Amino acid sequence: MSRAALRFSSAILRRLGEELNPNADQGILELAKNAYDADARKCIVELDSVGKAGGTVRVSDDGDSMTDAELRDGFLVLGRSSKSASAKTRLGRTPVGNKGLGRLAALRLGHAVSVRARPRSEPRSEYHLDIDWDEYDRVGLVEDVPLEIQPRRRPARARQGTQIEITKLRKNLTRGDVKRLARSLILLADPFAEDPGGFKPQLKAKEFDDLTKLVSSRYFSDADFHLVAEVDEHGHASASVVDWRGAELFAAAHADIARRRKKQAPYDIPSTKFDLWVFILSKEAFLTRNATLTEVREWLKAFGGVHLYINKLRVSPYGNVGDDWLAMNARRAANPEERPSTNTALGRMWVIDEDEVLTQKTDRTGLIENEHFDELKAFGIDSMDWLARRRLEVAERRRTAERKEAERATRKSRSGVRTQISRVPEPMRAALEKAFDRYDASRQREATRLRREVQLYRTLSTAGITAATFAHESASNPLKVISQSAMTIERRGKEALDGDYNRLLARPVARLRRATETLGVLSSVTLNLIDRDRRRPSRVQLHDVFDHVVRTFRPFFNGRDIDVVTAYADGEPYLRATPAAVESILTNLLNNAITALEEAQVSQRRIEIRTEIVDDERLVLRVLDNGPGIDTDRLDLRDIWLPGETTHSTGLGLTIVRDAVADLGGEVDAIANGDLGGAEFTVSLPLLGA
Amino acid sequence: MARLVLDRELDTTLIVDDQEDAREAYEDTIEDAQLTPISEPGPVGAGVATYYETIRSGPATAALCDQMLAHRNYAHFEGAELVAHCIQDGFPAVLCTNYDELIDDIRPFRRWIPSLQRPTEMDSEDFVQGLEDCLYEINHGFRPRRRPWRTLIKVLEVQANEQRFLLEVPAWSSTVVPLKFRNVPQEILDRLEEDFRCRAFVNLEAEGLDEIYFCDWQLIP
Repeated sequence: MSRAALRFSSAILRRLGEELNPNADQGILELAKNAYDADARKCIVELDSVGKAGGTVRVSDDGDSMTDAELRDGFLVLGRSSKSASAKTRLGRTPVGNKGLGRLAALRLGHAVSVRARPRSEPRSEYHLDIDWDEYDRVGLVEDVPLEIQPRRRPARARQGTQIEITKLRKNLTRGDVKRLARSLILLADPFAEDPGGFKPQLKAKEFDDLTKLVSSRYFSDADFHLVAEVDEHGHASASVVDWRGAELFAAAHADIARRRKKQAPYDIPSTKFDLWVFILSKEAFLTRNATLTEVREWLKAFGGVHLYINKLRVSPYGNVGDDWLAMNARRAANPEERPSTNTALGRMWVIDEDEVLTQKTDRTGLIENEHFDELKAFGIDSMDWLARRRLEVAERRRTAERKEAERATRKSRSGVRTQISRVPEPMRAALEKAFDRYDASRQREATRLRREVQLYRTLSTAGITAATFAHESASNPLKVISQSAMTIERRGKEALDGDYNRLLARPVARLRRATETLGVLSSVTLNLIDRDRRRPSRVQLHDVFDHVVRTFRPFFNGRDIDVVTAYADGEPYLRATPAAVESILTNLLNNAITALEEAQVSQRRIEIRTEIVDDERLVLRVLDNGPGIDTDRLDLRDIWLPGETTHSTGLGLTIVRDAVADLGGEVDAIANGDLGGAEFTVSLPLLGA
Repeated sequence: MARLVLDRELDTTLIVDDQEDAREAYEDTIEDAQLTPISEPGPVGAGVATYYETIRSGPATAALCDQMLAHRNYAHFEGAELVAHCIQDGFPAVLCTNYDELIDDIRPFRRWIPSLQRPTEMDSEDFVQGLEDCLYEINHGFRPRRRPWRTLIKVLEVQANEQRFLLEVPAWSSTVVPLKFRNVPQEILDRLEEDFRCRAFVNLEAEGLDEIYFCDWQLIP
């Protein structure tokens, strides 16, 4: 029996190196990642004459480097890595390098490589390793080329670290290669370059000077807003916001920032500076910039959020991926236009805490959440709130300006059309002028109508807001007194008057009870209509909502002696909408019917609410009354849906019905005198199910 | 006047309400419940803990409290907070308010409010029943249908401007429950986003939004 082993042809090096990793930048980046994994703080990537073949790439760092054994059993072993994704490095970094194949690709970029390692664990040693790749081309097997690791005495004052020099490059590096390398280095770098423990890659390449600057400047200059907020030693805050050119947009004193604090109290924190760079990540915004939207997005994905530094040292986990200690994302959810999130902003909270009021937990998983930490958070949140308010103000101003601009543009267009018409020869000109006058007049009427409609909505909103604000005082409080007193009269009356109670007091007490019930609807209807949860789209069970509206209005119906009857189709029809929209349809139809019945001399007032499901696809809602019906001599049936056309109260109820139904993809119709003799309104709504 | 409610003799009952007419109306109700009413004319300048100490050192053995106390500068706290404080210290107190629109503010304290009543419905005997419910929970812990169970919470929407979020308790109902940010612990708040899930203790036998409460929030490992 003879022993044998698998051996590798030297051609495998080419396959595993340059063929598996065709992009030079990824190979060089792998060397920078090795430096990161070796806990280097500095990593300099030098590209010397790489614009053509034969150039040199040099990567040097101040990391832990490698001993003789680590070079032999780690660096030179392909396909095996001593790195474990779960194990952290000495400085707590998560290793980012791969299994060494990327490194092979980098080392094979040139014809020769020289490695100089000065390990941290052996302060007086350094090791040299040279590889001449051409030698592999001259032999058949990888193992046929012996490599020597030469130990040397480290020169005095030479610091730890590794230098890898790849010479006689086989190919040139293109601008695209270097740009990709620069972007990748930025993603490895500590964004603020201020954390002594952070990783600071540096790119040196005379031929690509602009790209080397990109690595050091990151993308800060691409921010749309830079918030600078500070708290002085007395706890007083101030802030300013500058644009990407550095021009101040807004400034604030303590009262502006701390306006929601009780008595605008000072912040109980040491001197703090808060920088926040906010980006508007839209294609339009990035059209004219050097960086691309994707680059900045990636950068923010890696570093977005607010990083906390205390006494110049970064404190984890604040600002780490997934850590949103200032609740930026939650606060942005409601107002995406004007608030930053961890994906659109990068910030740094810089605290000089000489008295050590902010103390770290013993397991180093963050700060103890004491009142000072809460105050620090409050300062960060208040500053961002202030920025959001200012941005909202700007947005409002912009919208006003746009409205004015639209009016100006309309005037200009009108004058332009008239000028053009004046150039048309007679008799065509007169006909055109007449036609345009007609068009212009009808457009002006439409604009006037819309303005009135908007004004009416505003007035009604104000009435609604006022009613809601005082609902508690105007209805709830007096009700409490009346109902408690009525109950006392009943209790004591029954006891004192015995049999005479029914004769003397039962009816007035019952009247009081009925009146309080009716009054109670006032506050609940008003507040119920503006409940924001009812303005949230969801699955709406139509019959439930109709019942809810009828229940709410029941005391009003009783007070007016109106008999309300519901006759629903079988099943539980539903659609996706806001309950408020569906409620507004039925509420306005009922309001309309109640008003109509008030005008009628009908002995038995009646409203019917009927539903029918058509083909399992549509719900037909009919609201009928036995009032006088619609006077079609006075009002065209088509016009009842127009604002201000009906004479009852605001004249807007049926317009709201029409608009709400249209928003739900439905249709409205009306019959002047329906089944019950009075008006009959039909609303057809598309269903999701029944 | 005094009466035995469960095992405790109650007599003087303090009425905390910012409306003088309401206080007077409640006095009648309490008198008819065979208890002696006294009214707090206000304003109550102190914080809730200090004010409770004042109650404790006075003659009152029970309390009837309105929710909206801060409206007219009568107090710097609301009724639910005071009632919760009382119950935790073994002092029976009934919260009486038209709560439909206030329930979101009451919910954080609902765990410590055994009796929530409406002034339009609460008669003398209802008030005494409320005191009985309070004393039962003070002596024995939750009544069976108010007992909380550990269950899954699903966040539906975060409304940052309102400083609140909407949640659903699948084991209870599909009803959407709003909750203020300040009513959940920071570790939950930090992770709050749509579709976030965690656990909390919830009284799953609650019959409506006016009864449900949340406590002991937990992250799902």
